[in-house]
Order: sequence, then structure tokens, then C-alpha cells
Amino acid sequence: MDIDLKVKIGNRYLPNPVGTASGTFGYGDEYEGLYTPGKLGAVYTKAVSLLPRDGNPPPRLVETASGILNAIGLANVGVEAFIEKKLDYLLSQPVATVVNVAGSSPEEYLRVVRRLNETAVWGFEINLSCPNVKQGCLAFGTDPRNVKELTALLRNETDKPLIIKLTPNVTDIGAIAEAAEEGGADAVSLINTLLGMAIDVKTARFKLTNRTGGLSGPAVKPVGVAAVYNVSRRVRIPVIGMGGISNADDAVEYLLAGAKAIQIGTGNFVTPGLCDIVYDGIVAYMEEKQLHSIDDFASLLRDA
Amino acid sequence: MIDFLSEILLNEPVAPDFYRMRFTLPETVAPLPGQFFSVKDEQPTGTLLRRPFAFSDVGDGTAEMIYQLRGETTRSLARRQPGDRISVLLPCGNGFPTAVIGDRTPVLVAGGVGLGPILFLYTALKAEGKKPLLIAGFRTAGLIPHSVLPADTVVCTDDGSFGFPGNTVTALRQQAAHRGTVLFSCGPTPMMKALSLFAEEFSLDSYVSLEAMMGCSLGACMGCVVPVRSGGYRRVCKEGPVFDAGEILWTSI
Repeated sequence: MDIDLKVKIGNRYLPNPVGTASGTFGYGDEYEGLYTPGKLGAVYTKAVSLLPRDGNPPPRLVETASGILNAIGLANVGVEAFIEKKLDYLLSQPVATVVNVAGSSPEEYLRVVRRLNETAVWGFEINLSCPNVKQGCLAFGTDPRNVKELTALLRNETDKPLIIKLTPNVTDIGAIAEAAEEGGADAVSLINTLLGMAIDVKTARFKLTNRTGGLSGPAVKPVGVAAVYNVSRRVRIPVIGMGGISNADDAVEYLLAGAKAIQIGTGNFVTPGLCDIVYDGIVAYMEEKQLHSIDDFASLLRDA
Repeated sequence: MIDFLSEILLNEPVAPDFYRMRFTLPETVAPLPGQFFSVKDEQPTGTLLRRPFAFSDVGDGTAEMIYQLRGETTRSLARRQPGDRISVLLPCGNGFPTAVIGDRTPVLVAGGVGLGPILFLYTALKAEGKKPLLIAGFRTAGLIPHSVLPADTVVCTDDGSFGFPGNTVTALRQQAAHRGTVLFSCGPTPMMKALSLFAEEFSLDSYVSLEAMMGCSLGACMGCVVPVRSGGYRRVCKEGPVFDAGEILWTSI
């Protein structure tokens, strides 16, 4: 049976729907040898900002029930060092290199996209949803007008696929997705982490120096699936789903809910070769259900 | 780096709340003293993330760790039997820089469960023909894992119930000759802080193996960082877990 795994985003195709979520896969090189390159369709890089960022003081990461709470704070090498030291490796791999871009002002997003647009990166994922930094990101991502304006600003700068990454920390994520679509986005990806907090009751101290962090892992999967279901019915552009994918069934669940591609995040930490497992599982599911393309998934969905 | 499904060969208590586990290694991997591995149990443990542990011995296609019962993962591991399987991601991080020793005397200082990587280093240095001095500290006599300690270990107890009465740094201070030694240590943060001050006082080279809560254990998540004097942070899993003690910004830990 012919199976077409390609996923069209804007004017390009992802080789398959499997990707690794920003912040969980570095710039790809750390995972060398732990996955099969052909089975990983896209690496969504650790966020890249205009200047290097040290990130937040530790502790930055704590485990919670079926999840982790992180407040890394967008620690990254900055766009110039990324191009100089990290990009060649990614471009040498048979994956789509989608650079996750973070900024604290529209100007900063613009300059990072402009600089990277000259390179051979596949496309951009714009981080409008990091809960762990004081300026930018989440502040832009919770207001539809800001999202539309910033998306339009960046759309004007690049013809490469432009994906807007959305936060679940809003009343109506569909309205934010619509704003991204109106601004000219090629896709939306969701969900980023949920704002959370953990306190050590023995010491009465916050477990994270940043006090709050972003919750990810299996605990958030139902939130992500519902958000993908809702958003995919509000916009015509593809929805890239993520949140708590730990096995192939979880990924299929997102595709059934309406996602056209998925990202594996926290699951990489537990199972470094998870993208292989998810890829194989998606193919096996398509064979079993006689699906020819990723678009066929959504039509399978039935009421309880 | 390999994610290897390893078989448990031995899992036994060596002191109250201290266990040692021996397990199979892939043929292609030869971990060094100071390197670590990250464990995911095949059976449910109630926890999500892998847990990092230092090698306490390696040889004949097997490796050993000494672990302390601290939480759900370690309590669950303690129930595992020979023949059970664990997933081990390895080898992680960098080992102790033994090449710097030259003709100096390596002084190895362990606190509590920090004994694991120090034992491995001790064994490796002995095999090289060096004469390491091993100082190991415990809270009290009942917690000393005698069966795994070399006979010439200088054992210290905080409450004076066995061996040298006092902590490892005090014991080290009383060893007459500090000159011509290099320090290697692993243990509680206050111990390593005190050791690094001691090393500065006598201008000794000092290397510490740090512990941290880790997300990925392989350098991707930036979750396990420590502050450094030159500014910013270093990843314990990637640039560490062994650091030159002088590099660490101890006042911020």
C-alpha cells in the first residue's frame, strides 16, 4: 500500500510528521546515534535569540506527577554562534531544520529571522509562548492583536515556512491561532508548557528559583489534545500538535484530533530514541487502518 | 551514547539505605571513573525521568553502582532482582582528569554516597601503579559500607563513632603533607565547598564531581546547570559532572 508521510507547511514539505520539540533536543548533535535520521522529520531547535542568554539560576527543573516543571529561561548561544557552530551539523542531517526563534521585542524576532533567512534553514517556529522569561514571548502570545502584527511583520521577511508556537495559558487559544493565520502564518504549533509551580513542604521553599515554571510531560497530554482539536477546527492552516507524547499511540491520538504533524518533547528525556518508535507506530497504524496520507487521520475520528 | 537494555546481575545492601547493583554493559562501552549513566527502570516506578548514577566499578563487560535510598526511583530499584532489566543511557559526562596527576599523590575524598565514583577512581589509579590516599566520611558508624571499602581507607564519622572523629576536610588537614597532592572528591555540596577552600588555601589542584537534578543527561535540556566564576553556567551532565573546583562559583550554590 502506498503511504505518503509528507506534510505540507506553507511552500515546503516535511518528510514525515515526526519532530522533536524545541528545548528538548538541543541542536540535534547531542542525540547523534540515538535515533534514525530518516525517521525524524524535523528538528525544532532550542530557542535562538539575537544575543546569547545564560538562562535562569538553578534549580531550573523539577519532576512532578507524570511531568516536569522547567524554568530554563531560554538559555541559548545566540543567533551568530548558532550559525557558526550548530547549524552545519543540523543541515547535514536528512531532517527539516526548523529554528525556534525567541525575542523580547518585535525587532529582536525580526533580526533573528532576517539573519537566518539567508541560511539554508528549512523554516521558523516563532516562540510566542515561553512562560519563563520576564519580557517578550508569552507577553506577545496572549494577545491576538500582537500575534497578528508580529506574524505579519515576520511574514514580510521570509518566504520560508513560518510556524507560530502557541501557549495554552490563555482563555481562547483558537482566537490566538486565528490571529496567527490572519497574520500570514503557515502553521501553528501547540501546546507550549502550562504555567505551574511546586513548593517543597519540608523546607517551605519554592522548588524552582524562578518560582514558576512550565509543565510538560504525560500530565499535559489531554490539554494538548483538546487544544489541537479546537484549534484545527478554527483555522485552515496545519496544526502541529505536542504535549506529553510518550509513545506511538500518543502521537496517533494527536493526528486523530486534527494535527498534521507532531513534536516529541519531554519524552525524548525518558526514551532518547522515541522518534523512531513514534515513526514506526504511525506507519503501522496507517497500514492497519489503510490510510494513505496524514490528512486521512482526522476522518477516522468518531464520537464516544 | 547508547540506550542499552541491561540485565541486573547483583543487587544487595551494603549499609543501611546503601545498595550496590551490578549490571551488564554493552561491549563497545568503556566508561571512565567520574562518568555516569542514566537509568530508566523497565517496571513502573511512579517517576517519569531517568536518574543519573555514577559508576563505582567497571570491568568484564559489567558495571557497578552504589546508590542510596532517597526517593521512589531508588526504593523501586532496591526491589529489583538479578535477571531484571533496566534501560541505561551511557556513558554520560566526563571522567576525572587523571592525566594531571603526574608524580603527585592523588588524594580521594568521598562523602556518603559520593563514595561510588571515588571507589572507581581509586581502583583505576591503583591499577596504574599510583598510590592514592582514600578518605571517606559518613555521619555515623552504622552507615559505613565496610564491605566495599579498601582496607587502607581513612574512615571518618561526623559523630566520632568510628575512625577519625570529624569530617573529611578536618581529617585531610591533619594529614601532614598537603604539598604534592591533587584532590578528587565527590560528596555533599558543603563538603566539596569546604574542600575547594582548603585547596585554595594550599594552592592544590582540586577536582569535584557534582550532582544535579537532570532532565536529559546528555546536554540538550540545560536543566542541570551550575554557576561558574567566569560567568554564566555549565551543564553538569555535559561539561561535568567533574569540574575543576576553582571553576565553580561556590557562593551561588
